[in-house]
Amino acid sequence: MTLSNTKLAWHVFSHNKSAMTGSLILLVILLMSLVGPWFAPHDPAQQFGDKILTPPLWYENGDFVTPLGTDDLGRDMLSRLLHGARLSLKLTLMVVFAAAFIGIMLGAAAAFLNSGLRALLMRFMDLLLSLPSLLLAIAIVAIIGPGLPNAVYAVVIVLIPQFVKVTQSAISEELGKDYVMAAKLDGAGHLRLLLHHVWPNIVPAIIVQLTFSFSTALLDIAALGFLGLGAQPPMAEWGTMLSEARAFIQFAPWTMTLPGLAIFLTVLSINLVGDGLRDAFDPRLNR
Amino acid sequence: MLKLLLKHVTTLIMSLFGLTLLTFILSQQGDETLHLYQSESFIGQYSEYLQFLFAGDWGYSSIHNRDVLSDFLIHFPATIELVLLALLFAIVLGLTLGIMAANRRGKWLDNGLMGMTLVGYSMPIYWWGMLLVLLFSLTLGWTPVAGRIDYAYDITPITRFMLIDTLLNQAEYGLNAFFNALLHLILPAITLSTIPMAIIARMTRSSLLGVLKAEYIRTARSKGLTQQRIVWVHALRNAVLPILTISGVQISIIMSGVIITEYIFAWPGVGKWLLEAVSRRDFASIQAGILALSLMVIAFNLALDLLASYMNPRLRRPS
Amino acid sequence: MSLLQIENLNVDFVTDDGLVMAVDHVKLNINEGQVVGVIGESGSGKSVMALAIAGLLSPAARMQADLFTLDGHDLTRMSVAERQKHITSNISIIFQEPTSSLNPALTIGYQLDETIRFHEGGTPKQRRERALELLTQVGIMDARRRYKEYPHQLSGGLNQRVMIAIALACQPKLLIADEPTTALDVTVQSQILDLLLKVKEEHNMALMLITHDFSILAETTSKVHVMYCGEIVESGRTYNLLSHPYHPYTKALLDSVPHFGMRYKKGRRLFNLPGSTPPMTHLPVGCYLGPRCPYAGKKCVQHPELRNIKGRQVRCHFPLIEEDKS
Repeated sequence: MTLSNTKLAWHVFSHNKSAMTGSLILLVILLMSLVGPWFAPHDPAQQFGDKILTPPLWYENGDFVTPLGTDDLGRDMLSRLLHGARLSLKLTLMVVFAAAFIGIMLGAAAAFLNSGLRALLMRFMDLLLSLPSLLLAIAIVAIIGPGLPNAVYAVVIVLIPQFVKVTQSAISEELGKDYVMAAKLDGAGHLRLLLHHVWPNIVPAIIVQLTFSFSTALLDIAALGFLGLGAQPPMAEWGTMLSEARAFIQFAPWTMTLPGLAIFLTVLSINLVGDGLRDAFDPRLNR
Repeated sequence: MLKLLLKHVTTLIMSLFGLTLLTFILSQQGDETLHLYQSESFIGQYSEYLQFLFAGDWGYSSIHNRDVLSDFLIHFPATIELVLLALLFAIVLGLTLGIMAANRRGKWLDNGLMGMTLVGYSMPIYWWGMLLVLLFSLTLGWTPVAGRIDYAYDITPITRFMLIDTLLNQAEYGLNAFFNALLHLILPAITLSTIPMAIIARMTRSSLLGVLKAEYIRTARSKGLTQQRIVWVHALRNAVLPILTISGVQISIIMSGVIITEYIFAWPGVGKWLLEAVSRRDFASIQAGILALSLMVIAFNLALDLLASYMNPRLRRPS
Repeated sequence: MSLLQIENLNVDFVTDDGLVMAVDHVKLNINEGQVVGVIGESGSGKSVMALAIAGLLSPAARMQADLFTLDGHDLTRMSVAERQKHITSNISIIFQEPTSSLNPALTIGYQLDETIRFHEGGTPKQRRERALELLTQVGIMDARRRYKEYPHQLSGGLNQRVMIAIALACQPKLLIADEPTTALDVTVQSQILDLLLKVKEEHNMALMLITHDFSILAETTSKVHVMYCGEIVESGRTYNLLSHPYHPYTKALLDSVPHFGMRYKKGRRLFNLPGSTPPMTHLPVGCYLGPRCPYAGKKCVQHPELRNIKGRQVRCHFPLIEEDKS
């Protein structure tokens, strides 16, 4: 990725309204997850016994002490959401970077393996990819047991094959090009070839894969929390909060709508940014 | 063609091998082993496990005190019913919306539809399901909250497909039971179909717009064909292939989604059964459930691949 | 009798870089059964003009004309649907890339059959007979086998023959061939040209042959239009125009083709225009050829009108008439 390419990509990206809107929302959410917990009015686990299921401000009997209402144990929704933002984004980042690191290593190794081994590895990745991601995560959680750390490991494993495939196919494509042959003729070794010549050219594909993995990871971690296989109550995790709210949909809908909205907005903004990046890096896709 | 078939078969064998290895490891997790193995070694036990599977002995759940395969078969039709209806919704609505959007490119309808599909594919299904319940079941009171049919109806299971069984049981309740079952099915099916529908609609639109720029569309126009004929025969026939190839991903999304949907709507299918098995650490049922659901996905993908290669004349009859 | 009459045909597009006049005040007259050539470099607007006449412009293009009559009907007074119907039943068009002009997912037979059904009708059996007859007419051996095949199974030359058969099925009075041989092998090119002239005679059609190659025009057409930057810069009878070009651009085009056995006087070279075709968004002021023209004078800052000179139409302030006296 040369400077002019980066500039061009930025030019396309910055003129894409939906991508810029997505970036803005994402930036706000990131900022909230960074500084939010300090501004949270209450401890997320503190139970106000006299305030159980207080509705948010826009209801008649809303309360300024708990602007977004409280849940069934009288815990402040706003504080829980802000702490949940930090937890969810932290987990998502960890999961995606771990999966990306392992996946890229495997993919790069696969590109230089002999064809038989590579075929075996890639077929296995295809199998993992063809299985429903949540089913695979449930299978892994079933083996290693439910709980937040295990759910995180499961999602990491689920995300790895995507990165292996993207890296391997991008590297294979680059290795077939003339400039690589020229570098080889100059006596460049595998590692040098990979780092100096191939790597800069596959970065865009990996960045795009990274963004889409963020939304998958966020959704799957929350899904496991929702199903009771991931984060366990009383942890302020968005999916777990949704799960706890199931029993109160009718009487306290805000306990369900607010954490869901948080997940939805985050995923939406990540997807908008991802779409924008894909279009920016691949001008042929511009419509 | 032969080469293509060979590729499909090797992919299938590789997939089955990997999958059974995974479920074999799962089956080893419980306190008691699934089967009585003769062999001591891992490989020996694995090959015996395969033999048991082929013989139809998928293990015995000591928790349910039942044969796992028959337990699975009791829950399976409910899942199939839900998945098929959702798939139908997703394909029919997705294609229609995509075609409508492509035909009115850049107009408000196109922008509106594409905005909706963007929302659709960012929607966490567990939240979406609860929002639908809140609106249609709790606020408007149109649909039931959970289950397959009201307890008032006592339907003898024959096929275990509720829609079929209620029709077979007409003597007692007339069509009332059937409509009640349909009413129970509709909201879970909408929940499950929304995300794949959004993706199919987007894909249809972009694929169709690409195809409509092709030179053979210009030829079709010069022949004086109607716009309907150009879109439905000339363009769609070529746009369908890329749509088919992403449908494999859709079935994966649906099978992930069906677990959550069954959980939300207390739908007595394989997904809910599997989740219960996980919470009880009933590994005999877990390995059977995961094996069966994955087999469905693999079979569906294989069927899609074959369909795609049948529909692509370049692959069907090599020149 | 005049089949197609067009005056002041304009086609423009709005692009990111501004308005493009792809076809600029074009005047065209084609008689029944006549073979007319249009020549120009790529981007000269000749293909856009063909698409405009055949009613196949993309929705982004705007088209207008002072006069547009086809087979005695005034198209400017018709509704869009009427015009489309009138055009498709009178004009057929074939393109440069025959293989991508045919639908890859449908058989040759199907694509031919639906055309016959739309224009002639008939029972399936009659239509099949007719289709096989047309395929044989365009020189396709074993028409029965080809009927069931897909475009990718046929060579480019065969596909162009199929395109011609489909065009004939529309029973047109005018066939537009837009660079029909450019994408084909040299040996196939002359076969397709011969075929076009043969079916033109048999079906008593007019033929509009669009090309960038003078050698194709010389033997086939009676009249030639030369296009540059969306305008017609010279038109006239083929023999006269080729032997004595009046417009500097025509001369440049002719001179840039090396002829076999051509004797070069000492010091004489192939004539070349300096520079390159200007971008359509930034055309020069005055004569579009002005900055590149060796004959340009002060007058050329004014845009020249199409003038009648010795039975020819020339868009030039300094036509090369003196030269042919010497």
